Amino acid sequence: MWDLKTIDEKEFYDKVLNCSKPVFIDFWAVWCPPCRMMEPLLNNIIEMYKDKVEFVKVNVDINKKIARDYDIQGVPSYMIVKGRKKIKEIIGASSKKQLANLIDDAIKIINNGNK
Amino acid sequence: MNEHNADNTCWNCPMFEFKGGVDFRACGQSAGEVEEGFNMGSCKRRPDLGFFDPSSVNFEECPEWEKSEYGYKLKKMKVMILGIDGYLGWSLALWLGGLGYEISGIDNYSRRNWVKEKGSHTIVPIARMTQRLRKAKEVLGININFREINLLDRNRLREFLEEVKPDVIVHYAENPSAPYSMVDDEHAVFVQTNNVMGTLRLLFAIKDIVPNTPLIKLGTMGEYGTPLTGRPIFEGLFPADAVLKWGDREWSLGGELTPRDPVSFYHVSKVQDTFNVYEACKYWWLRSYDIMQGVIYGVHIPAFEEDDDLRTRFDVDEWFGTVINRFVAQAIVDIPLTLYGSGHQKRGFLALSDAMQCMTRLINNPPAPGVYDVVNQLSGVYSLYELATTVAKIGKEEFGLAPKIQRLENPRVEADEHPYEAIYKNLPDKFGFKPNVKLEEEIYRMFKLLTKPHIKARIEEKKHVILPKTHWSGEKRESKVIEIIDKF
Repeated sequence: MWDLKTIDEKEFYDKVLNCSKPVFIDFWAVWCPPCRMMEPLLNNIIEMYKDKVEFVKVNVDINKKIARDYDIQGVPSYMIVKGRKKIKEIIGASSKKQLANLIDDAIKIINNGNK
Repeated sequence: MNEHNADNTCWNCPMFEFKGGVDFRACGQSAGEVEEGFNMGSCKRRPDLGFFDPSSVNFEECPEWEKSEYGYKLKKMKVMILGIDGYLGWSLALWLGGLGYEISGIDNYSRRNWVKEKGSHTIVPIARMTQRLRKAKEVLGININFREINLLDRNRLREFLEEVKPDVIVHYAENPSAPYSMVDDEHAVFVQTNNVMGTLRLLFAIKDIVPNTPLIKLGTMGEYGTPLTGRPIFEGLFPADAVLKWGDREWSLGGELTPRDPVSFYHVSKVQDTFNVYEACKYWWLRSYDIMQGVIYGVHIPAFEEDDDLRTRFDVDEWFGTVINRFVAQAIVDIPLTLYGSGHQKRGFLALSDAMQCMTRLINNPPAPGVYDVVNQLSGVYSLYELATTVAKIGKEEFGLAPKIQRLENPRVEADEHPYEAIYKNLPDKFGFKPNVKLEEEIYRMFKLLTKPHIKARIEEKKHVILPKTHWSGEKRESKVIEIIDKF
């Protein structure tokens, strides 16, 4: 997982836009209880999908420009992007099944688009 | 070993002042137009740093935070204790004062008056506040800035907050008694007004005067009730893998407040507080830990041993005496230890000095702006029957007493046969809490103190107010004896 504390916004964009894999972005805030409660479940999802998808985490208060660029309307938001394209998005705390569906569906969409 | 709060940054520190527009919003609410500079700010203690990113300095690196027994601690941190004259408030004042915190506090002596109203007194004698303050200074070198103030007195509360500008506020200033709230409509209305309106006054005062100051608010495990389905009692909020299923659809409940099922009008006041504090954090970015505290027992923190005038109060009457404390007193004056109903009710418990450790660790780990978080504060779960037998055995084997146990018709409306799975991982996992006191050890200490002749005489004098007469039905009468147990 890329740690936003250690890379600047430019590096974030370089990595996301040039990543060969789909990127899962977790938009979160420290004051948001659902965001905090999602953390252990997300670690689980990362473990399941780390070979297929790259994961990044964006604190919307610290990285406001990124949140604005992706038109984030609320937190937590989970988004799959490929290059400059938003593939699929879900807003609010989500179950493991919902997140797994989000990633599986996004991968299908990307693969179908590539055919 | 890495301290539990070493990685906290200026986001958590009450000394950091954010500059620029604050983006007040809730989860799911779109961001407003905010100034770019919000993430910058300055430190009240280190103005030489100028404006900087609050994520760039952590507690381990900051010279204002020093290593202590309970994690990093802000030097000369100003702690304001509301309800400083009470069982917990006075204990915390001496405990924190001894660790180098700067203590202030308010109280209007209402606990002393409520116990008098019952016709009782504190079994362990306590000094008047002027004497307490003098002894704290003379014997322990602790200066306490005290004011006699009712939390509902808007102007005086605000004046004192302006004067002290505390770095953290601990709120113990509520009426803590379920039976007191069930006496009649006068008492129920009083408890809810005192507790709910007092906290609401406080929240507005914090917003207006000290918005960066965290509030550590005392709630109770009794807010949750005892769910008969056996579902776990989570720490205030559902984890993300708790799922609501309906038909073929499912939703995560992650981060939502868990259901509450209070068991008296007093407990209802605590539930209302929970929502008020939760909302204040959401609307104004206040910061709070809501402590769902188990039943506290015991008589010991080290400072009490220094001088009898430094001891905290200890109540055993039916309104304010909590269960283990009351059992010990009953064993000493030869009243059978009273179980209500089956005695199989299970509750969470914590020794007084372990409760003080928890508070210290929470104070040292201030929540970030907007954060409302909950801890279930207990170190073990016991059935009341287990506790009664433990107290009776220690009384018999160590102090030569001959205690009996009696089951009484339950004056309360509550389940007395129920599953109970309380989750209490936040304090050990996030705050480094390690319980130091064993149940048996503290019960032994209680017997040792309470069997002293002058204290035993004070229990004898008030033994008529120990047994329950306040029924949830509204009746005022003694509960019938169902069974006497003398073999355990």
